[in-house]
Amino acid sequence: MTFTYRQSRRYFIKKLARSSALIAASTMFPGIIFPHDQVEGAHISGSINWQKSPCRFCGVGCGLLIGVSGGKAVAVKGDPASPVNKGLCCVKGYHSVMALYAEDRLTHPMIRRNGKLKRATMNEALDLISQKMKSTIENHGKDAVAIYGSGQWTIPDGYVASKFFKGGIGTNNVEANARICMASAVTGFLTTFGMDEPMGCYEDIDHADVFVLWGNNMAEMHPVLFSRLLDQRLKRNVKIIDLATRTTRTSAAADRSILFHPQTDLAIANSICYEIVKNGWMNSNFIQNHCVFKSGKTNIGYGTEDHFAFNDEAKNSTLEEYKSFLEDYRPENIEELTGVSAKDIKYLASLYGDPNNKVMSLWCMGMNQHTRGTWINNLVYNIHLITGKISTPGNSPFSLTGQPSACGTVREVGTLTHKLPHGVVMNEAHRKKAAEIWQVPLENIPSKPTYHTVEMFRALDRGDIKFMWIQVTNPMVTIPNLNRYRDGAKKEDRFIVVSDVYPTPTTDIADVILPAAMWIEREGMYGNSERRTQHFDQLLQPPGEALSDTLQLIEVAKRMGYGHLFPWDRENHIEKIWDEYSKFHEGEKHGIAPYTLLKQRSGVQWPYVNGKETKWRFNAKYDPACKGGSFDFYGKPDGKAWIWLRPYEAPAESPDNNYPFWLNTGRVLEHWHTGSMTRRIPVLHKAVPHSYVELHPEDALTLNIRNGEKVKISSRRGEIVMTASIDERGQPSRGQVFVPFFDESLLINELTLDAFCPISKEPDYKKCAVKVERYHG
Amino acid sequence: MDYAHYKAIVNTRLKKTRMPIKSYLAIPREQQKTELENVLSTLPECEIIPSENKDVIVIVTDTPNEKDDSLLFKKINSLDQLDLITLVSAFDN
Repeated sequence: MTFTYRQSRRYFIKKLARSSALIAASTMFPGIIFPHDQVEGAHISGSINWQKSPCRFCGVGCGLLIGVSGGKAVAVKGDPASPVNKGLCCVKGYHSVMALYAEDRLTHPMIRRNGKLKRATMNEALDLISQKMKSTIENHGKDAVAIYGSGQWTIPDGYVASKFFKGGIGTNNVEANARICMASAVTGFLTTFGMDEPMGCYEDIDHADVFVLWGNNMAEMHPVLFSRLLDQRLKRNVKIIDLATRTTRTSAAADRSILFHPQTDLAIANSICYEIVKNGWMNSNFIQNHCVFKSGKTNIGYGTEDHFAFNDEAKNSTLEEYKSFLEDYRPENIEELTGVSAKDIKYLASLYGDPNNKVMSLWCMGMNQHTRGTWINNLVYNIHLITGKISTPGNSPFSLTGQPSACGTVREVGTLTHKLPHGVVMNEAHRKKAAEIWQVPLENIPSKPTYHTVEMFRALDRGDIKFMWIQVTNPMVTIPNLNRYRDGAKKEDRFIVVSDVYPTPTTDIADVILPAAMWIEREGMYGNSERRTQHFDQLLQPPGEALSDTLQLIEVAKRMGYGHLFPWDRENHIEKIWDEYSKFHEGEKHGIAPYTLLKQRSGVQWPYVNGKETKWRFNAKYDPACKGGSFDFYGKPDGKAWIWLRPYEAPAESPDNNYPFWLNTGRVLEHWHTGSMTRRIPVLHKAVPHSYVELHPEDALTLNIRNGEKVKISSRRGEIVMTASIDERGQPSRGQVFVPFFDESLLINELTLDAFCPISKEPDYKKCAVKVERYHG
Repeated sequence: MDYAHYKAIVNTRLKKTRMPIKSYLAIPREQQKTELENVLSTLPECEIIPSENKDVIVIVTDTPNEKDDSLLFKKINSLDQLDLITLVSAFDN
């Protein structure tokens, strides 16, 4: 059996290699001919069925063409029809289909019996899950069950999860991993504009003169978009400024690299505004007509204690109070705090303040995974608001998304504890709308949010949650302060269901594992950073008994008596889900494209109004939802955006005598998140086989550590031994270390701190205190 | 396959013997395509598919381990008849 399997597999791989080369040749040399008998059984472009799909990986949302032959995905190329990437991919995208075929792909359910996971049938597993959910609810109440999903859920997955848990069972215990990646971006949008998601689009890149990257290693994290910046620099001599806490490939490519001390982006943003005001670069007319000033609470805490609660309070402020507030942020006053010279701050301010410059600010995890993440989002919006550089082509504060559908699923469908597909659970009118569309009694949908992600895992640890279903995410690698929450999930009388495609540290602790259909093995939609919804057909059959997350949820719902909420046939259920979901977003502010159009096109942006995509929101010239002839920030009752007076506040944990280094975590180009897919793609795994710790060369010298040697890193929560990387891919500043989190054998989140932004509840993965020692073991 | 077997695959993934399979596009020097084909076809771990109408040869290599793969590549790359070789895909088994 093993011999036959290996022979068949090797034959398939050789065929794949041959096909790849023949396809590459036919792309590079049009009209090329190979001898028929030699290519028999191989497949070149004429005999491959190419179909569109968004890429499986990041929030850029590149359009791909997947080559399918003989029921297998054999090739990938960029979709030239996609306005996102225009035919270009990054190294992950080009190898994406290989993630479907690793040897240890989960194909059958597993149930833990007598401590060991054993193969079971799908019916057995689904029956057990529904029995367990029912008995947990009967014995402990509705809020004892929870689902933790993902920004890699497709839109139908998230919609069904929300309807099942909130509309059916009647619990708001619905969270997704976008809480730990994008929540601060969401609260930044909502507190400044009253509506989520960027007002601009990727086309801003073609118009901007200056790009300021705020704590974002865009060259590795959003590589195809970064290529578009570089392309513009070749064509139009634009400027790229890298404002970051460490030196990366982005820094190397930028026109200017400015390093700052962790957390002090808050002070820098205010200081830029100070300079803009001082030099008379404010757009007074814009401010007067389209903005108001607000202040909120300060000293708002860090959420490290269980049951931490915080509610902000917005107070009216004035332009004069704002100017007075900014006095504390004179560039000369904050040089020591930030590590940035007054000269550099003034330079940044001049770029924003120059009326002839169109400026695009771009950011992602550096600003979002931040204990004042909401505040720093507000403060970067402030810069654009006081200069009036917003909602016009090229003038764009742009919050980039990490995951392929954090926008489409988690934010737009609303798979967070407080959210509904339209609005929030706390608003009766929003609950009424959901109840009407879902055809459930209004009282089914609870009016109070329960737990955000960190608190949900705390509740699991405490025993307030007994049952958790985890889909398409890997929290046993990604949750901060991991030791506590892993131990909590493994406690007696907890029941954990995990839906995934490969074994991971999260499936390791599961009571039931369900094999999931992956990506193009099922139909679905993703929504990317620029409000573009992209549809993909089912191109392949999933292996074994693997089933889509959508159908897994529906099957369990049926077994629990909620089948009437999901009355659709398997053949057309995705279309039906989309049609129903669309009802939540009708109107000019958030209209979404019809299903038939999504099937045809390489993505359609929303708002989609009268057959047209809205590229720039809140500007009447481009946005039909605007009232009046000018700007209208219609998410706010009076149509005015809020300029917030948000101060600098220190992080939750800073280096001290015992733990003298900052620990920063993040990603590398080659690996997606926890590596469960990309580490199974041989060429990507070979490129970066293991995680490592980056040190500054002078720190390494002081600690007597050389490149490649073993280093022990310890925090108040855990310790880890890993290999030092000095002057290789990236270089942290002195007093900092950087560790990528893709390696499940090196769990850096055992060291990180579960402090979060009190407003967004998003944890800070970029700042905690560690000590670093040469390891002698 | 039970779960222990899955985990065994994961745990040995890094350690197991790699048996690389790779494919390349080879561009011969001017008017040396036939000579290059002849030389490549003598290499036992190489399968070649020369184009009928362009100076391009597809090469698929299949070696038992990384060392042999590296040696084979060096051998091919050093051929006088070869102008350019580019890797298209690489797999471990």
